[in-house]
Amino acid sequence: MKDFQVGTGTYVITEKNNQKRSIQLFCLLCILILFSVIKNGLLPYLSKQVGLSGLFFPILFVLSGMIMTLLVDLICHQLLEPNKKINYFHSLNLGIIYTLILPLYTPLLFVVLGAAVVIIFEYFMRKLFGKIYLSPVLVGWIFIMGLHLLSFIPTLDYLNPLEVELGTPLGMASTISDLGNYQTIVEPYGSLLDFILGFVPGGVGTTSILLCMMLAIYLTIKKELKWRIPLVTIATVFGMTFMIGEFSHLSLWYPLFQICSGSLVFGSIFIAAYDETSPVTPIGQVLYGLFLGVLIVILRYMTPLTDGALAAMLIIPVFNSVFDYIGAIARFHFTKSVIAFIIAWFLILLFACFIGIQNMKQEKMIETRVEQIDLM
Amino acid sequence: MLSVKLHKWKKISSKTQASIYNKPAYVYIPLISQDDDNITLLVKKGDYVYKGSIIARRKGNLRIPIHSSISGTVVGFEEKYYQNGKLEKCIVIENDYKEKYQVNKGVKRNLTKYSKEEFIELLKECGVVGLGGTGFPTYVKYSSKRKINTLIINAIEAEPYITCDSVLAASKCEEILEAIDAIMEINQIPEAIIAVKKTNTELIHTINNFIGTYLRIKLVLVPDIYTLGYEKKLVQYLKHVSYQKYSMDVGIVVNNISTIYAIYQALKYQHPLTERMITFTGDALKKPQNVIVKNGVLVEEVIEHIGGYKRDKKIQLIAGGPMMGRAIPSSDLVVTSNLNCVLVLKPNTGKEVSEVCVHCGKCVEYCPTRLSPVLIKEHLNHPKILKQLEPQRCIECGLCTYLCPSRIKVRDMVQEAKQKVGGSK
Repeated sequence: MKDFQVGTGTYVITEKNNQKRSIQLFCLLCILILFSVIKNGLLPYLSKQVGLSGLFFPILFVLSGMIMTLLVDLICHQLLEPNKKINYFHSLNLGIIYTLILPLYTPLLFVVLGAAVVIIFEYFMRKLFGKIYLSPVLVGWIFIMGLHLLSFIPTLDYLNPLEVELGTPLGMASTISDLGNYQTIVEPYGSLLDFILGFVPGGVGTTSILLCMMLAIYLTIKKELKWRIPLVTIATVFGMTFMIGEFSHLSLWYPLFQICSGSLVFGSIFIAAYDETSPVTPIGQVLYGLFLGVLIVILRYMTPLTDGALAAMLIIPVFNSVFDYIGAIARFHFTKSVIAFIIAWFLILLFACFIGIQNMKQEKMIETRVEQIDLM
Repeated sequence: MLSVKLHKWKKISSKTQASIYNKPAYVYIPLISQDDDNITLLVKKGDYVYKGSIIARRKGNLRIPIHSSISGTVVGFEEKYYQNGKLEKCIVIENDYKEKYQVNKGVKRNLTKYSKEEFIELLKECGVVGLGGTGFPTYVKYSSKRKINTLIINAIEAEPYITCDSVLAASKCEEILEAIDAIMEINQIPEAIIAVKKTNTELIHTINNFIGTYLRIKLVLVPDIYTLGYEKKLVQYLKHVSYQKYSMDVGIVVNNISTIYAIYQALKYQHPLTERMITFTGDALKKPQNVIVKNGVLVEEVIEHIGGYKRDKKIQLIAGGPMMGRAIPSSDLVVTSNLNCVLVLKPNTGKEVSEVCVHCGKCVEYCPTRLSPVLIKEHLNHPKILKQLEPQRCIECGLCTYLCPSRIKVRDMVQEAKQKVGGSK
């Protein structure tokens, strides 16, 4: 007697499962880890600014986050979902992304605690809502920011000596009352090429725009990246900062500086476009990118936050269901999404002009004051 | 919108020469046409029927006849599995092995000697339906009052494993080209396009050998990507036009290449559609191959005829291709005109368990009908939102389930939504 199995199709499936996708991402993230080790460990070691401990500290830093996310994942899995298959590389990837956005001076204890928060939060969201609404990585990051504010634990475990003197470029720019100029905000770090290559202060592995872009292109070719999100986010920030710069007669270097600084590029590729916390529809992704870009600029220029990219990426996914709803309907009736695009374009123009004019006024005020001082 | 290459598994059945199975002791003609079981029965137990006799007819608008595929005696009625996975009532006819036609209408030397009305009536009475898997009555496509500007012959055969169209087209290329020419002449169609996948070199070579004298017939090579065989997508790719419901609305008729051969049989011999080539394939069959089979034959008999199964335990018998087909709980499946493939596999279900959806968006990105399957899945219990997501557009190509890295049976959920939305209308 033959045993005919009944099951619903399809009866062939792609070989690419979540585990394989995670392994692919893990391999790519290892390239960023390698860059981080070179930038923060090897180069200072070769220039004899640090000893052997300094050479290995960056790798220890990333490993501590990775191991903690893996351990907590194993524990949570045993406690909450023992029958389900575990994807180790998923938690490892979260651990890597989480540690790469942190500054190297973050105390290891904070790193480890934050890593635990990342995984616990993910399980918590999944159990409670069946879906992840906020990026777990950024929840870990915000947890560390909180710990820094409380600062009851002594900070400063290690600093890359090459970065000690200046601080981050955006931090430097925020200390200047107007938009600054090339000499004041770019030249202290070398040139824009240094920004693109990543040899400027910032997160452990977020600074190399070139590497991030290359990885993004690879992932896009492999159809493993929601490429519209980083593309539209970066383009929006570029467009807005270009307009802002134009009010103060700054040339193209200014928007380039803005997109190459901070965690914008890395974040938009590996965090904003993170599958679970980003829209699934193409138009939803474009809208998400537009609003994310606007929010980044608002936070950068109108709040005390110097970067704003990560904070914006934490907030925007809350509206995913709206973006997806519009995006899904727009797949059949594009005109129904027009209002959302008009709002986005309006916000882009409004805030770019508003910030640009504010800075222009600020600049004029400074000029007047300088003239007054000169006259005196 | 992206497409996926699914070129694998074709060689399994195409490397063996096609065979014929034409000596069944009984045939079981299901009283169903294109999932419509509203059929008028025209014979009773004990009646003698000829090969090609009309034994039942569909009611309603599409009054297409159902023919006997053999000559013999009606011995009763039994339920057998139809390709929709359900048991359907069948007329059981005992074969007298005489292959007798009631009237021998002779051979038509010139296929173009038909008026358009005669042509449509012939297609209707010969029961010619789409052999690509839909079973849609072909005469309806030519009945449109709108002028037909282009005839597209779909020889893409997009699903993995299936090769019956290519094998038939390669062996009956002259007849097919003659039929296309006749259809163009009768219907005053200025242009015909045969769409073949770039990778199907054997068929391309054969067509190129014969096409020379047919100046109005063009051979167009298309990329080897899944869902390009889907009518709407093919029309869009070849003619850059889109339409809502039927391609006839934009002056285009699309026929499967095997359907063209069925039209040839009707034009040349006035023979109704009583047999077709079917791909019997899969890793659980000893000798996968294409077989010409009469309608109403049990699949089990054909499988035994071609060498049987490799294993007895845990096999999956699928009526249709691996993407759009359906697993049948028994080999008591009957062959019908719209069955193009019988796939026998070692089951893969259970090897990988469904995980939580990671929102990768692949199902949305690749959906040929621009649906948002993941959102449909999430809103299954929200009828208002579900309706706006238009799940009824789903063509059940299965690409969403194939691509899902979380191994979620997304298509099943969209089908569920389709039913819910249909019910709420």
